[in-house]
Amino acid sequence: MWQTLIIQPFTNLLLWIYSVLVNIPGAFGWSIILFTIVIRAITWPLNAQQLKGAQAMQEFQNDKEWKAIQKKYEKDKEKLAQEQMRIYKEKGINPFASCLPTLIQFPIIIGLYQAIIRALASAPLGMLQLARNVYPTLSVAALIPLNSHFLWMDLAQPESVPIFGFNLPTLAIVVAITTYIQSKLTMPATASPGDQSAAMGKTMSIYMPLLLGYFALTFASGLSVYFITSNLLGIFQYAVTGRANWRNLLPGGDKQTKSK
Amino acid sequence: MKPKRVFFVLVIALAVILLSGCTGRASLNNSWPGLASDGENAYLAAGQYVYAVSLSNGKEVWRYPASGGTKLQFIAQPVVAPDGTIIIGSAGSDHRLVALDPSNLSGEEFNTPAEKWVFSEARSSWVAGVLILNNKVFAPNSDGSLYVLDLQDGSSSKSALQKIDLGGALWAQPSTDGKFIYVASVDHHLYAIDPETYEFAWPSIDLGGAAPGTPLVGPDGNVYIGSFASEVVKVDPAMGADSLLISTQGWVWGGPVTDGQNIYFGDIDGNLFAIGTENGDQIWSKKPDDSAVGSPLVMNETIVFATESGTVFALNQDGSPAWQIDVGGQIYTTPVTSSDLILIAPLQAEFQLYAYPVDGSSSNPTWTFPPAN
Repeated sequence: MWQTLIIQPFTNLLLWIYSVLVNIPGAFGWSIILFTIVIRAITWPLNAQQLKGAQAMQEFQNDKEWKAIQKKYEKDKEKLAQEQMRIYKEKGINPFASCLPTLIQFPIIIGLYQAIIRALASAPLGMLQLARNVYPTLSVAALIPLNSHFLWMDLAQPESVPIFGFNLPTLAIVVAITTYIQSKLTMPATASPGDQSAAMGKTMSIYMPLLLGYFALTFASGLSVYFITSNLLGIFQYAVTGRANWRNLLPGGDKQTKSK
Repeated sequence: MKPKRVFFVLVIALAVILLSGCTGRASLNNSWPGLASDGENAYLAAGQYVYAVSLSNGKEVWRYPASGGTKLQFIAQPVVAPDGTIIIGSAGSDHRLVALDPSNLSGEEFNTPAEKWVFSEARSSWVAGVLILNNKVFAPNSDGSLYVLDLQDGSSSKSALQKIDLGGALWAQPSTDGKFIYVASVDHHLYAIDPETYEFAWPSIDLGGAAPGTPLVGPDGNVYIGSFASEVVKVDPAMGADSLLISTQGWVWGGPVTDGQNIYFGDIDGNLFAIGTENGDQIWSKKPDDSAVGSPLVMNETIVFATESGTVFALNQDGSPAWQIDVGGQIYTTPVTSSDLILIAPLQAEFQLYAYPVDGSSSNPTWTFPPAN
């Protein structure tokens, strides 16, 4: 099922884009970028839902009724949880609406990584698996083997640039920075110390850049191209919808919003 | 708050495990085993080790290296030099081509042959076996170069006499008619090289698709090669001119073989073909089973095909079935015959190597390796 629903369509989409761009230098890198744009376009409504969900959760944290209930049941956690669920229901808030789109990223990341490795097929068994996964409508015999070079990178290998005898993982650094920027931009302004969504956002803004940076450092650089493109598109989406919180990027920016 | 953090960390851990587990570097170099024989032992290149297995009883004679690791991975066909040296390259992160001396064994738990020489100049994996001609080793590497080594210079750390840059990944053992070396590449081209001057005999021929199989020098002196363009072409070595022999339904992976009269090959759609070299007519085609990736084996009066479904089919020259054995696993490695045995090295089967009577008289293996308890 994973194979049929994720790996095969991803591999074929990548190969199809590659077949269109094959005469452009670095065609496989551009294919990954275009692929990311397609995925971002498909998940655009989900991301919009994530932003909406985050905002709803933030408004909920500032809700007068909720604050009163928090005070009333300060010592009765069970009752507090029941009341929380009741208000969620009344106000139509889905507490998972903000994190679901983030979780959806993981199967995409894993699927894309496997699709990249499969499409580049650097050993006979991989090549045979690729032959098995190509849709009959796609003629790839003339395309194989794919050219894995893009700019200075071999997209099938982790990336680093030798500087003064040290291999600097430039893509991993860019992945971590763009992930951090994206997380910060989407962090809601906090008003109360018990604001759970803001606390979660803070946790995400620390862990996600480290995690994706680690992925970029360890795995094929084709995945890093996906991360960077996806992050830049995410930043663009937040900016054009007017939801980007640019002040969060400044030192102490989140505190400024707190005091507001 | 705390359960959320735990959940988040668990999701991350799961993602790391899935990414690492599904796509580790080892899988990049994954392939089917390499197999050869010299009449006394079978030589099996399977993952971290190369094994010499006695043909008489299926017992391990030696293994290389003494202890396995991820740096050395063996998938290429081992090649036995005239002096008994075994030459094999690694597809692991250590891209060494090594010559092993089976007459110089040492070790406590397992016998391990001494390294006679090592060649470490290649930049990528060794997927194919080497060709030995006129005391020279012609070694095709996945970095797209054919390395020429002197077999008799006595050096323990070899340097290439010549590095011939071809292009693409070289996954096929070269072949020769004594005059030229024929090298097929995954970059879609067939190259012909003079083994003395290292000059190209003629401009490379574009086959229209990757060519991972060994070119065949046919009984008529022409060269036959299949490709992912789903066709087999005939090349006149004097002119370097190619002509289509046959279009197939699937990619042609393994190189064609000959019985001196016809040529035989399969495609990955499971079709098996016999073509007469005299006039290029198709004598028969069969589709008995699953993909035929390795080359067929011509043996006495039969042609043996091994398929991905783990079955070995022996056909008579007229295409009628002679015998069949269900080995199990998936068979991509070309079968090998030696004395009175046929050797099969399947992938993901109970054993790594199976030996059967050469006439297919028994579907029970004569022995297996590792030996059954």
